[in-house]
Amino acid sequence: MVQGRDERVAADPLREALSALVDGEADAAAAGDGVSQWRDDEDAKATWHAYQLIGDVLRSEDLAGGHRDRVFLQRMHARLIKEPALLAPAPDLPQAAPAAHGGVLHRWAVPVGLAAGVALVLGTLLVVRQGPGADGAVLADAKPVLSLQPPVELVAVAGSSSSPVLLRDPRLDRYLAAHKQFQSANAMGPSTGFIRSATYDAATR
Amino acid sequence: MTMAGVIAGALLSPVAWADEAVPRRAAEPASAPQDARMWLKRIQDSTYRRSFTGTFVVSSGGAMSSARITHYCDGHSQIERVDALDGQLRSVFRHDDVVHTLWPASRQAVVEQREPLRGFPALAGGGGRSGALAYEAVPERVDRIAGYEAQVLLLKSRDDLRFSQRLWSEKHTGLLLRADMLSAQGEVIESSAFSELVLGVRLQPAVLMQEMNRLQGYRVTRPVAVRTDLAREGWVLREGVPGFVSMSCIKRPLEPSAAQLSEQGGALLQAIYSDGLTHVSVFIEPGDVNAGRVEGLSTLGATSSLAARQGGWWITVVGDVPAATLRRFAASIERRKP
Repeated sequence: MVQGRDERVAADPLREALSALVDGEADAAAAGDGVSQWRDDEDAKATWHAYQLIGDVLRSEDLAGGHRDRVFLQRMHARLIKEPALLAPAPDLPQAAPAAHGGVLHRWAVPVGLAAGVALVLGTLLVVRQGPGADGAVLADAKPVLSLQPPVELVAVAGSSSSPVLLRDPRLDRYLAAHKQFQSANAMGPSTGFIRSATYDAATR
Repeated sequence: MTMAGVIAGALLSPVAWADEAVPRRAAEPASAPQDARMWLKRIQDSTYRRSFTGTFVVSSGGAMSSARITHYCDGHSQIERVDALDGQLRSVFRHDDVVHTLWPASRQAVVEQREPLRGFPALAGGGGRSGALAYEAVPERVDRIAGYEAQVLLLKSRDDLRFSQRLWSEKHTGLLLRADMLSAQGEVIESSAFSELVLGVRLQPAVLMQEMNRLQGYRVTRPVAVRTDLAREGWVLREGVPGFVSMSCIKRPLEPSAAQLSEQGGALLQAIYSDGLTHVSVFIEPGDVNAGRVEGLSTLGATSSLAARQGGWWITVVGDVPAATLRRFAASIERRKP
């Protein structure tokens, strides 16, 4: 617990002693103090127990990796996909353990991955919504995907919607550019046409 | 309410009376045949009288692009600067008919002397049926765009050969603040508008000119274009498309990078037709340089292009018009000389 000792711990000599004892870093005198504290003080027993528990969690892959957590997150992910709201609330991320350090980091990967997944899902939903011809029906038909991977199928739905097929002829750009030069052929004068075509060109070139 | 009641109510309530009179008075000019021209003339004049800066956004075919606009005018000459805000860094300058396009990242520049187009005939005051616009002007509500009050005007197509357009014209100056192109079903297929605008700014034309001509270190390309006409090139538009008049015809080298036109090298011919609000380009070129091309129509936003073979030639028609209009142009263009 040495590295994880935060200000609260440091401010309380009793807790500091217990923390040192848990970490096996207390010298003989401090150990004696700690043990007698533990014997006489109910609070100290609770704190000791909490520190041991934290230590166990940090050392245990089973507890930390959380197979059950992963299953839970997958289910939650699947539910999020089915959720009709475009703006789903951000998930409540678990608070940092007192010692947010070293081995703890990999436990963060899952919630962070989930957050990224939510962002991807939201992004995909927006893409589907904006796709030509796509409407609520597409969303309703979307099957939940039981995986942490972004639901690629939804993107495919958007891509295969009934938008007009664009025959992209590379020569077309030259024709389009040449065509737009004459935007001033309209009755609104050279400026009006020029501003529009010069702005729009930026997207096509 | 009885008729007497209506009259009494109207007399007693000048506010209600005025409220009713305003839209009626505004709608009156709509029936005048010259009105669409009057509106377009006003929009055109505004760009010769006002300097402004602003941000312009074009949304078409699911793509959106925006640019920073600087427009200077002293009553005769116009200098404009358009800086693309999306994608590659790019500045386009226009000083009347001269256009400089600069790509600062790749240090490339294109310098063009554009064809000075005579005004659209309907605005030249010729009158008569030939000068009539193919659009009917219907004044609509008053709206607000980029912080300015705008009169909304629907230019309703009189036939199905062109799209209707809805224009937002600034109330006091006439400046075009927004333009929407509408499909036959009334859907917006392209929209362009100022999202932010400062009218009547003081600009330094000398500074704009300096920036426009700062070409040191740039690889400058000067595309070649020569004025010609269809008949001289051996072509004819057998029957015109209603509402469209011929504006210009130019030819360029087939290779965009070629420094000049050569007699044996062939040329890309471009004929331009306008109906006052939109224009159509007809491109003609020898077929043998187009190996691997496919015939057909492609559409992006409001702009469509149609490619078709005709004997040993390729005809490509491009315009912000319905596909049927492009087909009429393609079907009407005919070779007169072998």
